[in-house]
Amino acid sequence: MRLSLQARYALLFVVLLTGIVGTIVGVHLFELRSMFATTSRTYSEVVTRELFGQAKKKGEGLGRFLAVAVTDSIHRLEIDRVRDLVLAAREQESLAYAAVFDAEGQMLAESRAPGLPAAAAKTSDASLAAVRRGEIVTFSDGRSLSVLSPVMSGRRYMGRVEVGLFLGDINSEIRLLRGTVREIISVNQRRYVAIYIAVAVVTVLLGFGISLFMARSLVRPIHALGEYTRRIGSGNYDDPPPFVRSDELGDLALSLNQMAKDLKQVAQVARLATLGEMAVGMAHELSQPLNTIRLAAENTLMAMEQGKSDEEFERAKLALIVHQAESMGDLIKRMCVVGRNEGPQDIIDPRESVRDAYSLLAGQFEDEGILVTLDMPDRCARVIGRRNELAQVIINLLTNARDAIIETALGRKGRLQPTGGRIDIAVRDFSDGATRAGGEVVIQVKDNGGGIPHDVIDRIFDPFFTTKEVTKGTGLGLSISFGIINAMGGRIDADNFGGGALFTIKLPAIGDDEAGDRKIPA
Amino acid sequence: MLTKSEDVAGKAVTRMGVLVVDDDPLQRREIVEFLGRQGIKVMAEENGFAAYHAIRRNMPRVVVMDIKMPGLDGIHVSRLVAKLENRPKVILMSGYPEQIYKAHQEEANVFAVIEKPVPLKALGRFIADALHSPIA
Repeated sequence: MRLSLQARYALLFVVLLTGIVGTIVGVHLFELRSMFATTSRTYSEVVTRELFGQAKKKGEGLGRFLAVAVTDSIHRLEIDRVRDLVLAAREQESLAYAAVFDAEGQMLAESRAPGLPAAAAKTSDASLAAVRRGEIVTFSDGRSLSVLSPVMSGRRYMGRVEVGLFLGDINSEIRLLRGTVREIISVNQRRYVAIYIAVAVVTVLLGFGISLFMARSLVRPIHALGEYTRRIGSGNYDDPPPFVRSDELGDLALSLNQMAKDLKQVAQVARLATLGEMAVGMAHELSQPLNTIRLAAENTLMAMEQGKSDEEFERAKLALIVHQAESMGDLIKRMCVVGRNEGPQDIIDPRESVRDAYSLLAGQFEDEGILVTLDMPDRCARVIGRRNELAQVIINLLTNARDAIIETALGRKGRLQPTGGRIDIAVRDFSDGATRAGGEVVIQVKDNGGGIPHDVIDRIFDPFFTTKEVTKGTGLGLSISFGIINAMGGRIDADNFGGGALFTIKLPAIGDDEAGDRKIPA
Repeated sequence: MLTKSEDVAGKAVTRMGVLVVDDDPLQRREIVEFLGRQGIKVMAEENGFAAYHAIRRNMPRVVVMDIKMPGLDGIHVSRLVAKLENRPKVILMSGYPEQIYKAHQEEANVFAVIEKPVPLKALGRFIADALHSPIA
């Protein structure tokens, strides 16, 4: 799966953030839970102790009160009176039971709540001994609380009062309280969990947003740099860097800009190399008519000296000389056009550029045993560009074809022999109908030099890519050609066809060849 | 067609003919014209194969030949000529210094190597020398 740098960056960030936030929230929730549990337990204990304390206090108070109340009656042995007091105390305070014993432990009076079995509590000897010493003793069996209070007359132990309180109410109240506490705690816990999860989600979303923003702020200049390198690649060496920054990306942009400047110089060198190619062809092309002129002139001179000349002979020779001089002039003009440095884009006839290239190189190539054919239509749509640049592209393609043919021939025979090499140049006008606009002009250069190896065919338009020896080629010819055709709004493609390479240039046609008959500023 | 000989007739034809070989028709014609005016029997060919064939058939005394030609070049032809009996004297012409150097190196038994553009007077002298020198 191919992820963009931005997505990968954001994803990594979110995963990291989720991990960190998740861990923090998890730990906090765990702590919260145990804290709630402890608090809940402690609270329950406090409440329980409090309720027990209240019950005990009540029991002790009642016991003490009853003990004082029954003291006189015991003293006077008014048993009925004691019984009344016990009954009244039990009923009024809704005690489980109330009883009065004399000093010997004999029960004097007792009252029990209805349905309560007798001898609900078994009083221990230790408790009785404590009561005899004048202490109040409290004990519980879980369901009820018993309070034993001594009845004292002065310092004399007269007996004891026992009161029993129901603990059922307290227990249910404690349960209720515990329930309330638990409920409060669990509600709080849920709220905290919800808050934590909300915080986590918000953090992660926020983090995702931030990471996207950061990724974009990183990726956008990278995109800009990519775009910049493509512009450089298509020959716009003078474009300024896409941004100025004081960070690493800014350094990279500056380096690229420096590289573009260097490339411009190298491109200039490559252009000079093209001019060098042309110069060789040019010297050859010029030497032929020059030789003819020299021979014709000397021939005429000698014929005149020998008195074997007449006017018709001289006229023919002069006409020949004029014609030869004209073709030399034409050639030099083409050389100047092709070698010209700058010039505005104009409406040009692509056939002119092809003719320039052909006339500069065809003769030389033929002497090297390579046949060059030229096939052009009588009428052709115009294109936008520079005549010299298009000619340079064709020269470059022709030179490459020638080099390939010669290399193949050398490889086969070990030395240069008549090669049977052939280069076909064709211009085709595929523009629309009468206006000749809106279509394409196609220029094809085909050779039989063995073709382009499949493993390099995708790279041959890359700058500095070359299959030639280090000293033979800059590796820039095709990349510059690519840039030139690109700048003309066209495209150039390389293919293999029938034992050779086939280069196809497609240029957008702009109009009628009559209407487009504008002169190119020299 | 390729072996078309140009016989500049109507002059006092000597027994000793000259073959002019050049792939450039204009230059070839000027040389043929000039030699014809000197009263020399001249033949002309436009490539190495035709030239060698013409040499074997007509046995001219002198061959004036451009070095740089498609197919068999002047040096190849002179190497072949060197193996013939009663062989003609070969004068090679070229506009390229490296080819002149190569012609000298080859030791193909050439009589002279002339640099183009060919001075006609000098060429006339060379041909006269060649025609009158004893057969090698």
